[in-house]
Amino acid sequence: MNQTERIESDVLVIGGSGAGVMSAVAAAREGARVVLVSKGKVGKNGNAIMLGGSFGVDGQGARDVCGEAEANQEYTAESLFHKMVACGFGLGDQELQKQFVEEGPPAVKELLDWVKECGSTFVFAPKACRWRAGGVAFGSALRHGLTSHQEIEAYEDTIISDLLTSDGQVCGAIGFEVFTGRLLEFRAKSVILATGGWQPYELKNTNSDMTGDGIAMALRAGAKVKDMEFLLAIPTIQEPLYAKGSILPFQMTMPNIFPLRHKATDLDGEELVYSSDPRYKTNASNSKVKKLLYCAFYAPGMYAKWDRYGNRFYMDYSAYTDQEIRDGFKTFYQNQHWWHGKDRYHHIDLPKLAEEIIQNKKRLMCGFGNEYSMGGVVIDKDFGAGLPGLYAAGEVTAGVFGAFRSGDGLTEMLAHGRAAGKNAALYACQVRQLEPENTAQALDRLLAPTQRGQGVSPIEAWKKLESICEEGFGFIRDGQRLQKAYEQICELRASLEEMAAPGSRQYNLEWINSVLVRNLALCAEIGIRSALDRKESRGCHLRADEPQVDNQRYLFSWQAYLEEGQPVYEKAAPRAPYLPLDTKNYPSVLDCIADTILGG
Amino acid sequence: MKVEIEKSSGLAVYEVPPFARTMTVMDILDYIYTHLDHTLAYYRHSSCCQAICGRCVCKLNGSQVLACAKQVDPQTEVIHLSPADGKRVRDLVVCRD
Repeated sequence: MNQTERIESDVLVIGGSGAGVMSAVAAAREGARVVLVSKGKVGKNGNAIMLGGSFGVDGQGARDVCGEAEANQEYTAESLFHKMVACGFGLGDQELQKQFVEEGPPAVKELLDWVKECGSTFVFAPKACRWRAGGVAFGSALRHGLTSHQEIEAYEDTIISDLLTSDGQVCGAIGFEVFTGRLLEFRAKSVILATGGWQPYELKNTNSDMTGDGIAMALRAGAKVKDMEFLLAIPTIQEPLYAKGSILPFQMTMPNIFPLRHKATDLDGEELVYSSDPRYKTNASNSKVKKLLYCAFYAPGMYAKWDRYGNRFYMDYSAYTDQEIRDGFKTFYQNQHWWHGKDRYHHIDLPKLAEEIIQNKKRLMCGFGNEYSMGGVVIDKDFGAGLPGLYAAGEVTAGVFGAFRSGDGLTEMLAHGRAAGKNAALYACQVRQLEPENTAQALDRLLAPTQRGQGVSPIEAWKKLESICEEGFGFIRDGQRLQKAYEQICELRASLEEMAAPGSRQYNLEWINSVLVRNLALCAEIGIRSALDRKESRGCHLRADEPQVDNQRYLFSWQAYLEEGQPVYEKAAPRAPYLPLDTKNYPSVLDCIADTILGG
Repeated sequence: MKVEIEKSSGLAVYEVPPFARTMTVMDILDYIYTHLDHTLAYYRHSSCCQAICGRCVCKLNGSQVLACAKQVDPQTEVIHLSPADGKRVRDLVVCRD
């Protein structure tokens, strides 16, 4: 019953969203035999389909490469690069940032061609050099890109649990098909991780794929990860429950698509003050900084009542009449109907939501939901992940955004994918297929929960993990809570050795979740420990007890690797060959933003 | 609320505590799976929960719905969930490709 089916290729791509599809197509273009494995269905999984806003490149790239004649030429490649360096709070890898700027436009162009070929529309906003689009259309374009390359063999609804290695070289992976439970052994000369990021919270605005699978698998294979304490959060709906997880509140902060301005309050109605200081004024090209500004401005008020209300606040529209609120939403959905259907934002019926807000004293209950993880697998400028045969692309990697993501995750996944795919294919041409040495061990680990009659429930462990992270590892942190969370997560991770998922392997949710929660717990342990040991604030790591940005002591990444299954931590200096690093200290993240990002 | 589910092994009936606010079918399934029956199978891997991926299809009282988008009134006394049309894999999971 435990027989595996073997599948061979030159390049194995793990991941079925933007980075995965781009990698696979780029590798196939080099003549490699490519197999792509996707946790869900390509075009309907991963974080690309969650797109609810826009993505972009610099003005020159938008005009000269992507063909947008009206693109704002003041938004230069150089200014985008400078912005990325500043927004990374010094921890971004300048080689990767340069690659993002230079390779973003051709990668986006390739996607736009797919969009056109499948009859979809992305609307270009010339001033900000951004394409506005919806996730469904983005997913359809990716699927079209993949299916246009019939030579790529795709395994969908298939979960990879571990990488296969031979004497430190990566040469395949073990996984299973979720619907049948069929075990699969993939053998390849090179492997690309394109599995996306991780997020350990109960309030999520990401796809449920984000369990850090690639990060954890890379660690177990011997690779290093870094920057795991940096997770980007944005205003997200907490209630009504049917809309929970939607990033609509963040969209509603943008004056060009929603005309009403909110006042933020805690649950007692006390205002969470967003400064009117002109130093915090953003423009079209740096509007993403507002994500971090909302966190930093609302954090003190929410922190003061965290024990009572946790990650909850109101966006209050009581300054407006009922009709103004209805009209505000009308303007919003008139801007969105191309992708979301009449009166809709994804599945949310906006006129109905407007009435619910009016009835709820004109308030919408929100929290800060995790959107993106800056940390991940350490890669070199060729997207090699530190082990021969292993490459990584997209959100699974660390480095391009440092401590805060200012550029677009979508552009990142496309630009990374093209480069990683090409490089992995070229590597595959030069080596022979190796015989993996850890297949039996990886299979034992995968199947152990199915052979245990009783033990720890994976879903119960996952819920516990979310609760630990919500409580002690949220968007505003302190040493005491982090210490408690660290002790709890270590205990939880140890308990996962006893997970049980008895019964048939056919769509066994407990078995599926046993693989995912194991990965997520490893990421969470490293993230919490890194946050605990970073006794300062930087980018998305906001500490109420250590508010200063301490460049004198903390201008490095916490990097981790495993020794006998346990994380070992080391300091890694940022790679900065182009621009000098800022070594000045700042009293707070807000001061640093005002001086180096918005005023710099 | 009484929730009847046509599992592969036969009809299972669960008592879900009354909830104060409108929940989705997915919220109810999550509750049952987490607290009452770890063996329940419904489409949950790689799920968006925002009606984007469109894969969590099942039947609510005989009508095909997306579990993550379909709201259930808190006053409802009984709901009946069954698999969508297609080749059944397990409980509420069908292969529709």
